[in-house]
Amino acid sequence: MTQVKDTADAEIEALRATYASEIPAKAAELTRALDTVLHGLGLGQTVGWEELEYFAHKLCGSSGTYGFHHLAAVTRYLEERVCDPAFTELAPNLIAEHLAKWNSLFAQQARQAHGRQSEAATPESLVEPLNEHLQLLVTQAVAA
Amino acid sequence: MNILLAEDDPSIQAIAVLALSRVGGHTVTTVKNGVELLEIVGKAKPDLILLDVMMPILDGFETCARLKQSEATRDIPVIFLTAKAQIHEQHHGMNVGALGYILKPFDPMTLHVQIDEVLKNHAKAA
Repeated sequence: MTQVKDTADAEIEALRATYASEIPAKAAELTRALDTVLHGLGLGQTVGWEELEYFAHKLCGSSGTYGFHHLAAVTRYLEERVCDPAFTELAPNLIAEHLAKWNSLFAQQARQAHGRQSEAATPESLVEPLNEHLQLLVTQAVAA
Repeated sequence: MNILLAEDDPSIQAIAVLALSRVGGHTVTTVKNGVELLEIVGKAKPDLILLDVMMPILDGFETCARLKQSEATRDIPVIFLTAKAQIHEQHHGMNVGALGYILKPFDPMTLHVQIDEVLKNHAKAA
């Protein structure tokens, strides 16, 4: 049993290394979907949200399963926002501002996961600034 | 156990197959979406179907509903394996006839145990 476990551990580690090497390509897919949404928002259109949800959902599930919990937390945050009317019904400029902030954190986490760097903060604390920023935007929108 | 896995993400397919076969000792057949699953389910005769929810062409919920509508496949146990974690999504999965829900991310070393637990819990309830 121990031998099976050791062999499986080694195979999982090999798959994890392969997955890490693929993160830039997976991140690029998600970023392209994000760019489509942002471009649409700039034109006053609602386009590309389903595709954005799809890529965020897929990256969340796979990165977490491969042990990249910070990347999973950041992509889960995006997936949840995309499905949340409190976010998607904000003014386009506020949505774009928040997505830009998200993208900065995402790019950082994608780089760290690709380089398999150690993850210091907890996944929950990582997205806390995003929650605070969104709360601020919602408050501003209500006040306006 | 002969498991049929529908999952469109190759990286999840790879680690799930490893988890179920090398760690769990099961035989695994994979397909990329619900249409492919429905095409081969009769021939594959699985003991269990693991279904992702968000798949192109035909999603997991609709695939499960169609499996449960057919006399030939309605008794095959279905478990969703998905990152769709919200309660209403889990309820929807149960409403279309699944036995249970296993959430991604999953631990590849214990995925087979989670499956056993879902099957045992269902057997107890039946």
